[in-house]
Amino acid sequence: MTAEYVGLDGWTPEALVVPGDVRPVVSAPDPVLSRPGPEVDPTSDEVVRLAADLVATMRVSPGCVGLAAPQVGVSAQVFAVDVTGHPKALTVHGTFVLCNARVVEASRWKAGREGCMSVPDLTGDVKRAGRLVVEGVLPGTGRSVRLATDGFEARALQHEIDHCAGLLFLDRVAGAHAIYQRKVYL
Amino acid sequence: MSRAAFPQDGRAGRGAAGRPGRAGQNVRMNELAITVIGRDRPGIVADVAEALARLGANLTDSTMTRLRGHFAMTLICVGPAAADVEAALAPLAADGQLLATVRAVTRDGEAAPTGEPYVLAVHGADRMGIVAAMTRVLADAGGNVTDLSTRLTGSLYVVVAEVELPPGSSDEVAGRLARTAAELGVGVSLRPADTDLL
Repeated sequence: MTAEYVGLDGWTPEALVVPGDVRPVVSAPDPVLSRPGPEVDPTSDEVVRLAADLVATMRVSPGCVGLAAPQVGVSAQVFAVDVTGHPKALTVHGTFVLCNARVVEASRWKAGREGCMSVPDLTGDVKRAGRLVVEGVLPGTGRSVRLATDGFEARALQHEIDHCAGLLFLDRVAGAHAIYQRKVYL
Repeated sequence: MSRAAFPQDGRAGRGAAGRPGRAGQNVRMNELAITVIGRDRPGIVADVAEALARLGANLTDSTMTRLRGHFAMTLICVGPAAADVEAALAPLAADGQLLATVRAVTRDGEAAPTGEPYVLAVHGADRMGIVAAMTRVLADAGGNVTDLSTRLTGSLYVVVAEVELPPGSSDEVAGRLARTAAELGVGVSLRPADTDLL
């Protein structure tokens, strides 16, 4: 099974070549957040630029561990993730961008608290897989990757893949008393 | 446990049996529903709980939260007469900042779940009638809301409801909810509640 995994193989955002611009982040109830994004052509200039913008926007946003295209107003299946240095992270793949990603294996479901830059005033308890395998495509080269991860990075990936499907963590909260007014802003 | 076994006059029921009367006064156990609502300040819960404790009331189920900053507490207690509790809580309301109500209720809290548990989540731009329209869909399908919270933050309105649906009805209910949500311009999801027992 291990042989089937095609990891990031050293991919970094520098491979995108184009510099990213910081884009404004949209908040719910913006309808773009509730719209399933279409698949994209990962080799197109437009998607490469979008990928660079997502990384740039994520990097200037304190506490941000992931950002999906709908959050910058673009309905598309593209997201950036970086959980580097997060105290809850176990496996860490650094900064990466995936297009057209989907979950292919999920297990060890566990509840945890989530927030979202697009829902700045609320947090919620959401059950996510603690062991995850995701397949997607890298922007630029269009190379397919298959990533195995766990814990916090797995949670971040599921949160971003949900964004690409038009879902917020609010759609998955565990119950009526599982949403909370955010008390601490990062 | 049938409702008929515990008539309105509040005969001793489960929980009282085998538990000798506190302060010797609960030969006849009243079940009371109490609400305390108003301007928040430190010490309201302590004041209410102390007043009830002095009367020998057994505080059973309760919730307290702040709704847009307002103190809101609802509780059930067993023991004293409603009039005694009203008198004990009267000083709390004396300054006009809090409203306390006391009402004798019929014991019926042990009803078995009647349906399949689901969690309904609705979010979108705030507008009139979201809760009304969505919960009407549930009610028309025979669904029973067992827990509900709503939040307004900025222009975002969020509803999360736990609901018991008649067995086998969830697909049809989900379809009706989706149609109603589309009319309201809000997003909706209906998912089976997590019933894991760890």
